[in-house]
Amino acid sequence: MELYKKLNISDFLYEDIICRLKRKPNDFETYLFSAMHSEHCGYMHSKNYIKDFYNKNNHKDENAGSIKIKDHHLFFKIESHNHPCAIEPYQGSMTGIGGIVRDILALNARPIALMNSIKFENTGYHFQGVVKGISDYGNSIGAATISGETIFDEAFKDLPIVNVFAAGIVKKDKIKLSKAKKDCLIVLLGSKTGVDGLNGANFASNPLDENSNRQSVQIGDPYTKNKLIEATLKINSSKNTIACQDLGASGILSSTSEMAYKGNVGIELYLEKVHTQIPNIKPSEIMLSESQERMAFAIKNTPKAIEEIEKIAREYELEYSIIGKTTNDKHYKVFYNNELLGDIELEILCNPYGYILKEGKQNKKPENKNLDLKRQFENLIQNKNFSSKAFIYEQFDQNVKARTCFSQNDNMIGIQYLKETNSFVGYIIHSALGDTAKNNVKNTFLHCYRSLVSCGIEPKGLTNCLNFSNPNYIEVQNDFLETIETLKNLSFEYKLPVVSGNVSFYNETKENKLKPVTTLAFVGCANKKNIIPFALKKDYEIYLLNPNDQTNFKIENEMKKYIFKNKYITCPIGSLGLIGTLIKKSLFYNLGFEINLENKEFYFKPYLNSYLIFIPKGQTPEKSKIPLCYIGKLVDDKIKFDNLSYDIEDIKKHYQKFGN
Amino acid sequence: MTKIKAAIVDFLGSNCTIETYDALKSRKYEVEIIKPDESNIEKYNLIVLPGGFSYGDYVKAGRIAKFSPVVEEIKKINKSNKKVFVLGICNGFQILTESGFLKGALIENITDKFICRDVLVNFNNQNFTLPIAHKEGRYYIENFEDIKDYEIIKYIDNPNGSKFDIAGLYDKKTLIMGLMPHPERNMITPFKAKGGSIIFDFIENEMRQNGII
Repeated sequence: MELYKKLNISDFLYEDIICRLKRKPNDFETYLFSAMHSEHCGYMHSKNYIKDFYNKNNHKDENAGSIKIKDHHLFFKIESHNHPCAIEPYQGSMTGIGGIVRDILALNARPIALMNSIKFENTGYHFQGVVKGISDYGNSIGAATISGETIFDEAFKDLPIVNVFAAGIVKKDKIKLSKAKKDCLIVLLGSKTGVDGLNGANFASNPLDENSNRQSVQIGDPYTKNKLIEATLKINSSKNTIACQDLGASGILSSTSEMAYKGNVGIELYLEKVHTQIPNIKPSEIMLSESQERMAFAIKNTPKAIEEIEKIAREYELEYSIIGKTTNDKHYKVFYNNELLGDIELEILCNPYGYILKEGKQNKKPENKNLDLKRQFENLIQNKNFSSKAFIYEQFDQNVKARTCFSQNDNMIGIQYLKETNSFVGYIIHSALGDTAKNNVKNTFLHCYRSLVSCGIEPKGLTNCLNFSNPNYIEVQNDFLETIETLKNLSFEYKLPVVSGNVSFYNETKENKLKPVTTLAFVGCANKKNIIPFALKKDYEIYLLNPNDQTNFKIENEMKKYIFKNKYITCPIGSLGLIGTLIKKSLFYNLGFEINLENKEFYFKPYLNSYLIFIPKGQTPEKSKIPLCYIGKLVDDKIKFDNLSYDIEDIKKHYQKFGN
Repeated sequence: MTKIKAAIVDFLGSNCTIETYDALKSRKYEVEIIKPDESNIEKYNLIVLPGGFSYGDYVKAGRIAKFSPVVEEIKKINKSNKKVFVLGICNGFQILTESGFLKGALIENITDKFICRDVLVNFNNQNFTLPIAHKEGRYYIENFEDIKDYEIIKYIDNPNGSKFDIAGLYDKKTLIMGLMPHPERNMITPFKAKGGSIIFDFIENEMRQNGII
């Protein structure tokens, strides 16, 4: 078998490479193409589409995008780590966080917030490994895990979805981009390069099967990461540092080639200089290793710049090596002991073929039959997703760095204080799972938007993580196009920039193909006086704002204005419907409720386009342009709706079924 | 009045240094961040060992940090007539027990998991809220007799299986205090309860009574 086939390069792509190179790549170069022209690095099935969103941020080609807050930028991004977590959940989730944190760090932004959206079949092997990984790694690197969501569903059998978010803050004039310039030295800082995570990019670009290899999974080291964060922030704050790029997928190869490609220069690497874990590691392995806790820098070629690196590396007990230099010729050249192993034009290496996707048949599921209210209620409380997730989020440090004002521990979304700008940032991560790709995007978008609004926070921007099955299937292409189109339209309509994103394809095993999962994370800003803390008391009256379930930008904007003006305690309605949302919100305060709705469908309908508004007894709510309808009140010990009544002590047992 | 001089020992792997600095600053202290090889620590009134994962907490939490020169310096001060108040928070408390400054040990929580939660504690005849965030925070000692001279910060609702509900200890003789909860997280953050200030009110009072300030 020819090498390119062994490396999962399709005949079509191989032809494309030969056609552009005007020759056959040699074996070493074929290894490089197998990584750079993989779905994971090259975004070949999505690159023609993901740039269409509304996005006014000016760091479009960087590792993460940002929103501006006064004289600072908050960079943020979300990324998937599904494939590694399917094989090795503990290391997979650790290195997922490690990777997203490095993306933020590369811009010289200090990581301050983490979130996760994780999905499993049940609380078994994958769940336990992933949660432990997030806990062990995320807690020790000094960024608060400010919010998150966990969903259990049979749809995730053998296909755990692990999407992780990070945000970091940097002063505008301190931002470091990833564009190298001429006459730079290339410095590699951090852990030794080994053979873990070997060609992980290629592994993550194919379905999971019996050949999926543990060696493709990277190994995380939070202590080294902690030191690497501090060292990188120091190096990036120096004028001698020209560019920075993290080493993630395809390690040295993608980081160095992208720095040069974006900076419109060439690069020469000398692989014998790389500090490695073991002797005799092959050149192709050095290039493709995804060993964690490494960063690459382009620094000025001066003794002073080298001295600076040396000093910072010594302070943080990290190793470094100077592995190459930039050139003028826009070529990527790799040497090993003076032997030229490969020479590829960067345009060919870094700009792979982009597929055109086709619209096809809609991938619709039949709608659920209408059950009677009692049955729906029983289904709700039996649902694994109904139960309290405290046993998960209490394992994550939500408060480190003392910026956290509110988090899941407070029955709220994540809200942080930014001392740099004396303002507040709200974070929410969510993914609605329903009947169509389009509805999922819409519900996710609106739920995130409303979650911020309900706390008095103005939504400012978002990032997306799109998880799909095999992009060669026509229905997957159709779902993907529909997802892009819906998100694009919403981002333009609401003028909310999609500042960064990530696409994960090939989420499939022989038995299971993932239905589309769109995870969005929203970020918004507020001043102290705008924030509406959530807390409920007995006898609060409950109203439904917008009780007829209509939505468009105008309605949403009016509701936002109403909430911001009156600052009533409020929350949107999530996946568990009105009853499920109310139980979760009120049980936290040991309360129940009595309500009645005119339209009985709305008791359990997920993502009702309304807000629940809570007003102290005796107060008359302010007039609203959007209809506001009284539906009931909070009470001590019962949950009553329609003609049904339940004791909250019984409901609590279901709510706390996973214990603490 | 002269300002209280405080130093925070920033070990590699400490991750609560910045907020501890901000919290001490909010008390109007003169604060320096020092390295663990700092030898001249007598000039400070207060030494804080912050939270985090010093040296990756390899082997056991606090086990490696105890070999730092600064720990030797604290030992020297203990033997001399000099008086410096030492506060270890979370990982700092673990370093204090590992180094033998406070009796007992901090072992893995009874749940064998990390716990991040606000807890109610009792200290100095007051009940107040402080946040905890640790995996190895379960205090263990055989006999209560061994710690009867210490003042005790107690959990009202023990979250981690600590013996005698111990959340923190204060040895009046050596002026050394270890706390698993994080007072620095509940002092300066808007919207948060301010329980951390109660701890520092106490520390300042102790420093005054012992003539440190």
